[in-house]
Amino acid sequence: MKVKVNDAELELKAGTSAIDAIFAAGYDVPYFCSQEYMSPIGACRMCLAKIGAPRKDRDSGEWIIDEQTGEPKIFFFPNLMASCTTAIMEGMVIDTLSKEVKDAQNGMIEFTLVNHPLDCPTCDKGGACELQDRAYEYGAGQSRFVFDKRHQEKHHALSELITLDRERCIHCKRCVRYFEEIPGDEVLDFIERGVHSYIGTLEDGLPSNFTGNITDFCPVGALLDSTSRFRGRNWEYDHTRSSCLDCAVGCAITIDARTGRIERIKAARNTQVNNDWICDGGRFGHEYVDADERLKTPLIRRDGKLTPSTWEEAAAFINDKLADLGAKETGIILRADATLEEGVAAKALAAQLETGQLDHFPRLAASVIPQGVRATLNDVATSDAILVLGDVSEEAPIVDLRIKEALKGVTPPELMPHGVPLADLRLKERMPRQREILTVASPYRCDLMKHAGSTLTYPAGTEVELLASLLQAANGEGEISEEAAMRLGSSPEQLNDLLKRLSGAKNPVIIYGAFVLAASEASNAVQALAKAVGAKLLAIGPMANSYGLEALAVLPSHARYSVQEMLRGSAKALIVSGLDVAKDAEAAKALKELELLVVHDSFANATTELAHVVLPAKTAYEKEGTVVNLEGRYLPLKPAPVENGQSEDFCGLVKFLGETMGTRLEGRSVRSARRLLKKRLQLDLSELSEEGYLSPAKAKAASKFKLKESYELEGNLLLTPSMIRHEQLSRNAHLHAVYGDAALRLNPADAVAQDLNDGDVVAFELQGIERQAVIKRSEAVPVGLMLLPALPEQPAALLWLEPTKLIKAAVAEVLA
Amino acid sequence: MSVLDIAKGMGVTLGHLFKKPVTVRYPDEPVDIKPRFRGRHHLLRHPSGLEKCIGCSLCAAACPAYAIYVEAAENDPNDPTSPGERYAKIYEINMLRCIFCGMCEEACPTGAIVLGHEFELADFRYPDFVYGKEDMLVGTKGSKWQRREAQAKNEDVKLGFKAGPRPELEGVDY
Amino acid sequence: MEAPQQITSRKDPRFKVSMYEHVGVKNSWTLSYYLGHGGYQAAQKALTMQPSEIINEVKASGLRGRGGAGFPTGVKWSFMPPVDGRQRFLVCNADESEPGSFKDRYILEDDPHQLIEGLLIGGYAIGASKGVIYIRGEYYQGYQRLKQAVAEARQAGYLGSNIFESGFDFDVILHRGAGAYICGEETALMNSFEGLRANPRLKPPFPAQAGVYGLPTTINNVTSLASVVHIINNGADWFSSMGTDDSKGNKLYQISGSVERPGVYEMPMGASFRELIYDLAGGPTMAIKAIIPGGSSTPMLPFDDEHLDTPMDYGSIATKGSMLGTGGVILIPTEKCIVNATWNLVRFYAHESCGKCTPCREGIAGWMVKIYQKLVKGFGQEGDIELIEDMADKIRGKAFCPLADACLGPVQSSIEHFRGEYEYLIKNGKPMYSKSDWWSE
Repeated sequence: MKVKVNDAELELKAGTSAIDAIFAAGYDVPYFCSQEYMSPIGACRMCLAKIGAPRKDRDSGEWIIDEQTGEPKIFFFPNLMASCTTAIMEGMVIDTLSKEVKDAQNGMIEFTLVNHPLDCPTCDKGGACELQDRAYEYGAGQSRFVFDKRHQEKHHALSELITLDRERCIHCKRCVRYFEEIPGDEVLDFIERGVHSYIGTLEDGLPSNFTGNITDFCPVGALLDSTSRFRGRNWEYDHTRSSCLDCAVGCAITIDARTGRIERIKAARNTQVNNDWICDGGRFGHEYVDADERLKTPLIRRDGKLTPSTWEEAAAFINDKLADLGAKETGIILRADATLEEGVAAKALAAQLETGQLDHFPRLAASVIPQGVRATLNDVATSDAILVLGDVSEEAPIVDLRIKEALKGVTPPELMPHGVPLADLRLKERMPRQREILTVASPYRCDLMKHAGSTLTYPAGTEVELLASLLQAANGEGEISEEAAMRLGSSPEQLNDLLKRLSGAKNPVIIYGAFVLAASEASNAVQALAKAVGAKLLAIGPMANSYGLEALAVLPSHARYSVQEMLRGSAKALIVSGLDVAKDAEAAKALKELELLVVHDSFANATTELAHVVLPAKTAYEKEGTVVNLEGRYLPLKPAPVENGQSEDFCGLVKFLGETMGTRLEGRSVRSARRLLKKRLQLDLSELSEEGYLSPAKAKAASKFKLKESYELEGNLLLTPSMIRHEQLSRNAHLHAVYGDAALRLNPADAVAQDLNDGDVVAFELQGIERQAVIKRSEAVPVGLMLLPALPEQPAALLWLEPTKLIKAAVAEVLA
Repeated sequence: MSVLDIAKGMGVTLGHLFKKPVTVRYPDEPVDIKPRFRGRHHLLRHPSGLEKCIGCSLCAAACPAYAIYVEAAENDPNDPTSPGERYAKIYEINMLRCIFCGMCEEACPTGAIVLGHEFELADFRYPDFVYGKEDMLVGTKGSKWQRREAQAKNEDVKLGFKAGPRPELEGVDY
Repeated sequence: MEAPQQITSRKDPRFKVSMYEHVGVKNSWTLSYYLGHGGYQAAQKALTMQPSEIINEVKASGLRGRGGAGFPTGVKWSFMPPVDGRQRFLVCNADESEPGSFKDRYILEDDPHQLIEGLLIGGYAIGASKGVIYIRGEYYQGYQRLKQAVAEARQAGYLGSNIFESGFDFDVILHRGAGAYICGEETALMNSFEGLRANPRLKPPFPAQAGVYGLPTTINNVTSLASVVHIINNGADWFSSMGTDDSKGNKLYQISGSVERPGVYEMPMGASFRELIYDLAGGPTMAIKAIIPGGSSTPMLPFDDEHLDTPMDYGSIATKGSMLGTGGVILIPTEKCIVNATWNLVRFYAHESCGKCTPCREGIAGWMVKIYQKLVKGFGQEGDIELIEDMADKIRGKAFCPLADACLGPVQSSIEHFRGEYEYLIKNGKPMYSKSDWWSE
């Protein structure tokens, strides 16, 4: 459609909003209530414009012609229109520059400021505030309001993570709409009416995993991140755009650091991955980085005590020890969120040491690279039939949001010259959702099930059976029997409906996580099922770069060299990066026997207790590098300026070791690793765009060396992935205050049977690892099952734990 | 040059012999300073005793020499440091970097920071030139060195100037 | 043959009271009384007609919505999308909250069956099997009577399935409001009915496309639906024989303020203010200076011969710079301070602002009302009138829903017609007419 904005004429698609036409033409109108990816509501009345359009004669169907000009006559609307809620029409004329429009905008700014406290100097939003900017650009510079302003609560803690200043609120309703439209958790609304209305919630806290996003788009300083409260002003922060490494999604984030501390993390935009949203785990889980006990210098054990040293000394120490050892006797263990560049470095080091004992962990039994048509996150958002196996809301929270996006039945918006449309008129407040397209199957009732048309709670450990019977039916090799379906907690109708929906859909997607990946048989079945019904696959790996490290083959040369074996004595020297492997009592025993244990980590832990050399490691926020997310997308990591002493990433470790060995190893620096990767991938990772690069779909699974199947088919304790990184939770004070200690969730009936109450702290041993958890009774857990958050050292698995071994911590202490 | 010219010149000299001298015998005598002279900064307090500074960092933003560092924190509502929610936990000015331009004073929304008259800031070590809150809050007299000296001699800080009153310097007593 | 003269006066012998015929009669709210006076005959007749016939009949009658905006009812009904199996709703807006309007109240209280019958006919015409009556929370007696009437009608088979053996099913849901003027706005009413916050919704989509729960919905005023009963009973010609060119039929006019007999009077459209005020209401009890023609949101007019002889129809009042609105005439006595009277209205709108959009929330509820308070308390300053006028300019036509504009009606008109009083108050710090306190305090 042809539209004229002031003097610019442009051609736009029907259904575009007038505000997007204005921005596409390079003009500007102020706005507060419009927000990308959310419904336009026209509440702030800032984006007023003079809008007119030609009209067709009702009888003849011809354009009514202005006799003076001979052009179609433009009929202007009698009032100024809110451009965010006005759809463009053929021949529409939009005027944003006339005095009438400017006066209206100026008036509206004045009204908006009437009850705004103007405490900009103390407001954390100051300097990055939309109201400040708009008042400066469009306001008259002074107010004629001479009365007392509205007084309301200045610091209302909506939760431990978010502070609400009700005086500053300008009632744009973004936060209220966000909760209903994006995560679908209706936790906020306006209370009271008129000038007295304020944002609030009936219950305490904000029961949602995506609350932090409201602090990003609040146009004023009403909703603020409590973790960064008063930590600095916006212009003082160093903004570093990077990727989050808390899960396999790799959301774009902006790390705001000041004087060597990470003060806050904000969501950045990646239209292919996370839109504008990140989860609370990723946003607030950064406080550990600045903990006082952070390791900042290399330590060498001398006379049984770890003493501060330098990298050169440590490298020489290691080199001396390694020289005494033969080839193949050194093991290298990387954490699965190490970057590709670190992977290259580790491989180069392994090659130098002539050892095949190289692995990354956590790694599950099956490959995280699906064999079949791989789905992207945008495929998920545009899908018309989704089967979810597992608890995606915890494993990869953003996948949960993208699924909910698909439920709206609106495709992701097409980008305009100015980016994502500001007002997508297809989105409406309280849209009806097509719940029927979503089926969620999980061993317990998970959060996403609230939004699913069909839910299935199967007994833990029956993934293989469930998928096999679906596959059988899909291939027409046999009906699903009543009995089998019953056993799976379902009915033949439900499973047949699911198959029909998947095979009848245009763009079906199957999403599976740790519970399927933990059993290779289940993983094979899901891939076969996808092939049978023509679905795309999205596998959620255990960590941020599981996909990349597997594709790069940071893997042992033989099955007897896997992590478990290395920790059971296959290596005489070990270099462990980022994992507290000594948590496992049995492994600790083997570690004590080692000739050399080098630990590369950011914090002291059980493994550093045993280490001969401790090397300070960079955290995910300080590294430069590349990771590959669950859809196979290369995403860039940029280092934030954090005071980390002499911390180095694994590339740095390899550099120092190589130097003492007298050689220049590949991967001694990010640049050197990238040179190598460029040759291999035909991709220059240093020129990676912000949105990343989606690798060609036919990446092959490299995991020919399987781990021991960690997923036994029977058990009563399920280790579940979680949004929160439990290994760092104690150092993330704010997150800890909201989510508490790791919880052992069990059905109230079981809890009664074991005489366990909510809040009881229990200690127990699980596969050699001492765990402590708080009892939480939950109806979501089926009888006979217990849920415990997984750890990097103890990934998702189904285990046996005698309920009688759950000893209350107080009792355990007495016994000890 | 004639004798007359010499006599004229000597006459000027002679004339000055009987005039009041312009030079000041600093440091034995205090110098006279104009009221708007810009010397060492003062952090002022409200009459209630609360600090005027709210830790907004605008002075740091305005500072052309990047001499100011502010770190804010939240007031304890029961024992506030400043009115409102926010106060400056750390407030530092590096006097070596400071060019005494007065931009910080102009930027301050609460009139908390005012450049006073003290100019005797010479010291011996770099760290001593970083003035913290305790060095600048109203009631602190003299530079770090002067205070050290006074403490050692167990006498009052002796300032080497006198100046007319300046209303902005509320509560500052020289 | 010359067309017969239109009926434009209650004094015309051809005029007969229809909607309010039974108001004030003992037990008029019972089904037996209603049936005894020709009740449910119109519905019975309507259910033998085609829905399109009913819509055409209503269109032909020229009935315009009686809730204030005056949109032709038949046209509104024809906007409903074709029947597609989805649930459709006919909502009756009985949230009568405008100061000066109280016509619906007596239908609800004394003649609830008339409304139910109208709803039934309307529901049949638009193919809706659910009628919703959203009744103002304060109308407790009306609610009780309506509840009883619905129960009676259900029992007698006028509501329920297969009404009059026609195969048409219809039932009525009663919903009480919780005391918000904004719920009289149709989209806010729908939100409130759904249990949401009473904020107006974005239009388009209009209710006919996506109304209650996103389903096709039509919303009519109580009086509109009551009129339909009589249009079906007496024919469109009977209805259109009353009134003027653009305003057909009879209407319930309300009069309040300083008159002998305030109340509701049923008159043909086009009757003059003079007839209402002097002939029916018995004339003013004291000197009058201003007349609000159609409920508090309509701009006030000076009380003079020119305006008294204006016919009370949509077009004529519009040419005088005001609106017919709901037909709730309010008289303002000369000895009352106009600023104080306007403040009273502004306070009402400020209190009722829903808070969704900026100009209404901050402009009216946050600011305008404070300026008026300042004026009335005698702290007015020079420039305040200009400030109010400028603010009004910046609010009018820019708010989300008509509530803000409604507030500006009395504000702008009172300044236009009585600027002298404003200026006197500002200059002297006390009102020109001192007896005004009783109204505001």
